[in-house]
Amino acid sequence: MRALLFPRLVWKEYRVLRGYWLSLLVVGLLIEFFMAQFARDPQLALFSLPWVVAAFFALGAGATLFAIEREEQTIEFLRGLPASPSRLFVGKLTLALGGTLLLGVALSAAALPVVGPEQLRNLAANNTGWILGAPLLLQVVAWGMFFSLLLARPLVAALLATLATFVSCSVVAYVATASDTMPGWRTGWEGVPHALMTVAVFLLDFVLSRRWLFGSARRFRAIRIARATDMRCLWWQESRQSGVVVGAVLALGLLLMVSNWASAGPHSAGTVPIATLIFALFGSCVFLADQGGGQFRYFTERGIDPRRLWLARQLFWAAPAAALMLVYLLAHVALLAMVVRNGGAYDNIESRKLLFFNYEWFGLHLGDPYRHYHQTWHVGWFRQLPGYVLWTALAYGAGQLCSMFFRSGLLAAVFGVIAAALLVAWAALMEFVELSWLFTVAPLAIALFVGTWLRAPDWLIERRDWRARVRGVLVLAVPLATVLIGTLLYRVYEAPAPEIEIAPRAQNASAFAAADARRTADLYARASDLLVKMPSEGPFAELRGETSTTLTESQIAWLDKNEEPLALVLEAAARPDCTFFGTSYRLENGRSARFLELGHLVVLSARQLEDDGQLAAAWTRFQAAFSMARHFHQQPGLFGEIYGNALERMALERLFFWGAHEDQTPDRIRAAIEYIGKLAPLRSMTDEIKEGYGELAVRLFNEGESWSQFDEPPIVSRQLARWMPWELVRSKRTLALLAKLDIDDVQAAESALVGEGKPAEAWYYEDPYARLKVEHLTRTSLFFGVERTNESFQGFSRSVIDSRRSAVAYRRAVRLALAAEAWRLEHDELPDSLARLEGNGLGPLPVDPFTNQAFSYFPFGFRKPISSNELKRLPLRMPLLYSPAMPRGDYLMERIGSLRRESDDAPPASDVSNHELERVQGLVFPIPERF
Amino acid sequence: MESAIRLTHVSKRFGSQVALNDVSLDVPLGVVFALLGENGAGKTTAIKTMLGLAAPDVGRAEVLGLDSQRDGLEIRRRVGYVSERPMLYEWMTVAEIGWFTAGFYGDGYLPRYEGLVQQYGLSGGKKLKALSKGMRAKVALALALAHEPQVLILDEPTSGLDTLVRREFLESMVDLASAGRTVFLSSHQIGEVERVADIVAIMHHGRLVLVERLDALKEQIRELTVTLADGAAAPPAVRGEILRRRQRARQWQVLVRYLADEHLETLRGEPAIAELEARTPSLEEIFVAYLNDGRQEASPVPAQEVAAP
Repeated sequence: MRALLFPRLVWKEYRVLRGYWLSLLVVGLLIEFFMAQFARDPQLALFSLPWVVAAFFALGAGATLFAIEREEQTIEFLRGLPASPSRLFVGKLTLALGGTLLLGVALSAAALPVVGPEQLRNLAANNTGWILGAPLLLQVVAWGMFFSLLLARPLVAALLATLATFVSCSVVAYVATASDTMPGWRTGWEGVPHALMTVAVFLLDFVLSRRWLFGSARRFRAIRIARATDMRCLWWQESRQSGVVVGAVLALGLLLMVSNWASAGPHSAGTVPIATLIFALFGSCVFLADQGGGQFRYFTERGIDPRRLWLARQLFWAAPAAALMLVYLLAHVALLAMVVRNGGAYDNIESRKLLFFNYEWFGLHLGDPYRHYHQTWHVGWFRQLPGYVLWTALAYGAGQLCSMFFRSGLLAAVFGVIAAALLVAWAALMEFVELSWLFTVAPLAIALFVGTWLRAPDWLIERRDWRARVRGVLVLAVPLATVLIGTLLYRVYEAPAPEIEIAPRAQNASAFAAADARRTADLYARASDLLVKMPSEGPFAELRGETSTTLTESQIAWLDKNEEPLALVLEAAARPDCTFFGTSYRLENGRSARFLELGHLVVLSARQLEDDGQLAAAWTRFQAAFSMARHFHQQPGLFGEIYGNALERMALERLFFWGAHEDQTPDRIRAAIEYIGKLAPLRSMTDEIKEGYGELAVRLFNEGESWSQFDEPPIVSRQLARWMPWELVRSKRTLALLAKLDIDDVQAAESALVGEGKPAEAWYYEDPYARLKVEHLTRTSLFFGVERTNESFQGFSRSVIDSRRSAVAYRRAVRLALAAEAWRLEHDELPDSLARLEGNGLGPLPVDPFTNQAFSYFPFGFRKPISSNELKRLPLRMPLLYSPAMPRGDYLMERIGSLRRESDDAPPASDVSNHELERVQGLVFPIPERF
Repeated sequence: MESAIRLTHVSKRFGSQVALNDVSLDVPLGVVFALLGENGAGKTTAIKTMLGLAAPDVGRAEVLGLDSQRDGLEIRRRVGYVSERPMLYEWMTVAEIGWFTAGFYGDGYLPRYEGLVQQYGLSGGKKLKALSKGMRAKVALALALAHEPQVLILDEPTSGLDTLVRREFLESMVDLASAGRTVFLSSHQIGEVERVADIVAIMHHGRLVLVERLDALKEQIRELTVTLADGAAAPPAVRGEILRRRQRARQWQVLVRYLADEHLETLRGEPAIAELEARTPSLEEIFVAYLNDGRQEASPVPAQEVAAP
């Protein structure tokens, strides 16, 4: 007889849970069907789904097993049975585990036709998640039983079990790996601590089950969660009248999200709208049953505390919404982790940012003044939880507000969803502009709940006088206005306002607007119009940086075709001043490139004369090129820095070879050294920066000149921002800040160039936090627009300073190299050190402007042939000067030192034969052999 | 005597419509108080004002010494209230709604409710939606009575009840009053109310036109049927407050309040009066007289000679 008892106990439990098991089976099959029909790549999801559904069963079964006995008052019957507590415990556990396994297997079998047995086998064999997943599945049952033993309500037990499992997972993830990026999902070894914890909870369950069956009822009552009687009644009432609705919304939420992720992956843009819709629907149901037919009057007539009613309704509806939120969170994080584990990459960064809001954005690191500027996008449960909670609260809050204000459930749902969409859009905007949700979104969510809480008494007695209306409006309007005004003020004052003036181009143009200068520009323009365009292929593509000394036939042909423009350019170059402003010529990119091509023409003509042995005439052409570069430097803004330096450098590069010509004389070289030493000083970088920002201001804010001339595609954020005066103020302040930082930077660099102070790195290298802040400010300035982010946040100083230092380095290095050539002409060998050249027409020995130290000198060249950014190929053993082209280039110096050839007899490197060029960073200035 | 309910110069308007017009009322403890009036007279508004469900524009309402505006919730908790259309959860059974409501009151509610349900002959397992209108009214009454309120406020409680139940129900009101509780009921079932009410008040267009103890009222009001002698044309000169008068050929019917016995004897001796009959009218007749007479308010003035025109 006793042998029959155990199967019958299992049978009893089966009868209790049969409906739940079958429901989940049907739901699981339906989801599988939809996934098979509509999912783009259903294999992975179909493999996981059965076990997700099985986990749901495990949770529900565990939470029901013991609690239901007390809820239905059958515990006394069980006590009367001749069954031992252990047998009872094992019977219930067997059913829970068996049902879980059976459900998983049944749904997996149903998915087999779609997944295919081979694929299923592969997935199962390769999935390290089993090591973690299996203990977790058991742990869900264990926690469910634990709370089921303590409580009399299965639903509450299930919710607490979910929470406990969630906490357990997070704690294990942190403790076991000291990381928040879920490495356990990649290795599966978090399964070990989970297995240990599962065993511990099961043991605790077993002990508790003995006490549960034979302990006094009073003792258990004492550890039950205290509940007010009226709350219990209200919970019961709402569960009876709205249970079906809860189930329907939950099922809808699961179905929509599963189909969304199955069809478009976890990065799907549909995730946010779907979740917002579902949570808003949850909210709009909060007072649905009470509103129907004015049922709330039941409570009115009996003097029920409106706030208690409010609390009861909120608790009832918030609980499943919170549970669904956790399911979304866990599933989403797990799916993303699986994508990463399978070699996928995060794409669609915007939606990821919205979903995985980091806790830094909540200002939780209050001690860190730069907390808002940290941008580390990790996938992790704890990190994402606050964002999920707030997002859910916002959508749910909007729904419950409408639920109280609209009698019709349909209207409440429609307006709830609309309001939720607006609020989530606001939250998304705040995320986009990187403002903490703690201050910009959380108050709104709180206001929504406080609004209904305050309105509850008026709602219950249907008070609609003006006082009640004003109260209702104020409750929402005050926080809304506060957040809105506060956000706008913060947006403006977040950017500091340095006292600095940035000069639009037009203001400076007048200085160059003399008629004579305009005539020079006309000559350049005519030349540019007549210029036969340089072929883009062949030897011309290698014009820069070539070490060849002889012109190719196509280069000579190009020179022959451009005699007239060359004559015009030489005429223009001989003139003192030039301005392209106040003329009809605009320095658009195309025109500027053609002006630079004219520079190529002049330098190439100098080389032709050099080839013909007419070194003096060639030098005159080089002077014309320098003069042309000077004209470019006379232009305001950054034009001179870009095109003037480029042209000057083009001419200087050729002077290395001009100096090494076999017919060269020391006197001619010294004259060139003197000329280069007296080249016009380059313009103040500060002015250039100011003018550069002036131009940028014109482009961004459409001030001073017509915007249309810049031929830029319209940027939506900028178009919108034109309607927001505070955004204009903020963007101007940000631009001024950028200008200030850049000006500080270039002023320090300018001081270093004249030998005062050491050259420094740009500010954004020196102060990474400042860089983060400026990145944040520019990235979130609507006028700057997303497209401009990378261009703007670093400002102009880096390129201007680098360009300026390079230009100065070339001037100095060419003088040094020419002095070395003169020394070689006089001594038949190069000096053994640069110090020997001091005073030899050079004055003080020029130093490297990047380091303010002497240039590195390699009189015997390198042991290997090299290439650099400027030189295509520098032959083995060619003497040279070297600059690391950065203030702290010690590691470059070290590397370049290893290539040094110490004497004329030193052998080349052993691997020279493979003809591979050693590529070196920095600037290389050759001192060619005489030819 | 301490008041159970007191309204002091209460006025309430809904837009241009006057719902209550300077209503003052004092309901002592331990009585059955009937507020009578036609539809739209303002009875429900008066009750809502007492319960704090409507705010008076002017004046003050108190129940059990509590201000209805400040302590509306407490008032509703302490009184038993059955509205004209009691709101019940149709999907609950009779037993469930008792259990559910018991959650909001103290211990003992449920047994008392069950007792009342038994007393009314209701079945606990039946769903409310399956009950007749009368049975639902009984459930509502049981729910209102189970927490033993000091004051029971019933808005049209007997509408829909059959005669037997109505009689039974109204008699139970008397029992409650005799137990020291106050029953405030509004109704237009005048005949039924007459049997149980201690005090009646008649409301007309938002004004109270009569507030009087029923027994006193019946002593004060007589209906005279006067048949004039041949040749007499003038109506009889009746001294008192004329509530209604009607003529059929040579016969006059006059409803008069504060008619002195001596004057009645004098009238009998009048040569112009061939025949005179006097009887005590029903409450319904008094009610109709007050409403149809066009009088807007009660005349708590002493008897006076009123010469018919």
